[in-house]
Amino acid sequence: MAPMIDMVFLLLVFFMTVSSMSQAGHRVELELPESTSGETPKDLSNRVMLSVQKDGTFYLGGELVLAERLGSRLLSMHNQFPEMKLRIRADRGTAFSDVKKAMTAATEAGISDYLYGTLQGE
Amino acid sequence: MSGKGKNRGKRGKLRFGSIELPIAPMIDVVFLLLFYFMVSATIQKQEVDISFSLPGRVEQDTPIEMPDEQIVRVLADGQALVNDYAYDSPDQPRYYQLETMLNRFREASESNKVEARITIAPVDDARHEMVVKVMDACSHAGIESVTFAFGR
Repeated sequence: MAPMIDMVFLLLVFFMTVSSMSQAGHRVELELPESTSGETPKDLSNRVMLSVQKDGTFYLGGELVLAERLGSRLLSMHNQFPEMKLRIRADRGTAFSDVKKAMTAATEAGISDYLYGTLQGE
Repeated sequence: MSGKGKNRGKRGKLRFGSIELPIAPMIDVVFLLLFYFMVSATIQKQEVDISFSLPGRVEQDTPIEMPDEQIVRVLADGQALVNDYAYDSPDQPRYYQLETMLNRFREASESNKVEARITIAPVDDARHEMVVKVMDACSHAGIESVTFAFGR
C-alpha cells in the first residue's frame, strides 16, 4: 500500500508541475488559428515571441508594447541578436492590418525570418 | 509518507499514538487530482510553427532570376482569389480547390525549371485565421516559396 501511495503522489506532483510549466511561456491569452501544415519546432533558439491580440495589442514576450514603439524595440533586439527569428502569435480573429504593422516594423528593423505560431490541426 | 515508524491500523488507517488518520478518502482525493491533471495535460493542443521569410533591408546589385509568381488575394470574408477567380468557400476547414490549383501551378513551374512562388496579398480586414489557411494550402501543394505583399 505504502509504495503505491508514494508512486501516486510522485505522479501527481509530476503532472501538476508539467501542466503549470506548459502554460508558463504563454501568459498572453490568445485563441490561436489551427494549421494542418505546421511543424513542431526543433530549434527553439534565437526566437522572440510577439503576441498580437484580437484588438491589435502587441506583447513582446509577456510585456505590453505600444504599436509606435514596436519598431524601435525590435531594432534594438535585432542589433543585439542579428540571428533572431520573430515568432508571431496572433489571435485567429486578429485583422491582417495589425499583423502587417508588426511585420512592417520587423522588416524595417532588418528581421527576415518569421514564424507563425499556430495550433496543431487535424 | 511510506509510513515508517508509524503503526498501521486495520482497514486503511494510520495510527499516530491515540489519533487515527483514515487514508482511504485521502487516496480517493489524490487519485481524483491525478486523473484531472493527467487528462488536462493531454487535451492541450500542441503549438506548431509555420516559417516564412520576408525581404529585409537587403541591397540588391546583381539582377535576380525571377521565379514564376502567383498572387493569392484574401478578402475580408476569407475568400481566396487567384486572378480574380474565387476558390473554395471561406467556411471550408481546408482549401482543397486552391491546393489543387497551386499543385498544378507548381508542377508547371517545375517543368519550366523555375521556382514557383506564391505571394499572399490579404486585405487589411482579412482575419489572421484565413491567411493561415492559405499558407496551409501552399504548404500542402508543395510550394516552399511563400511571401507577403502589403502596401502602406
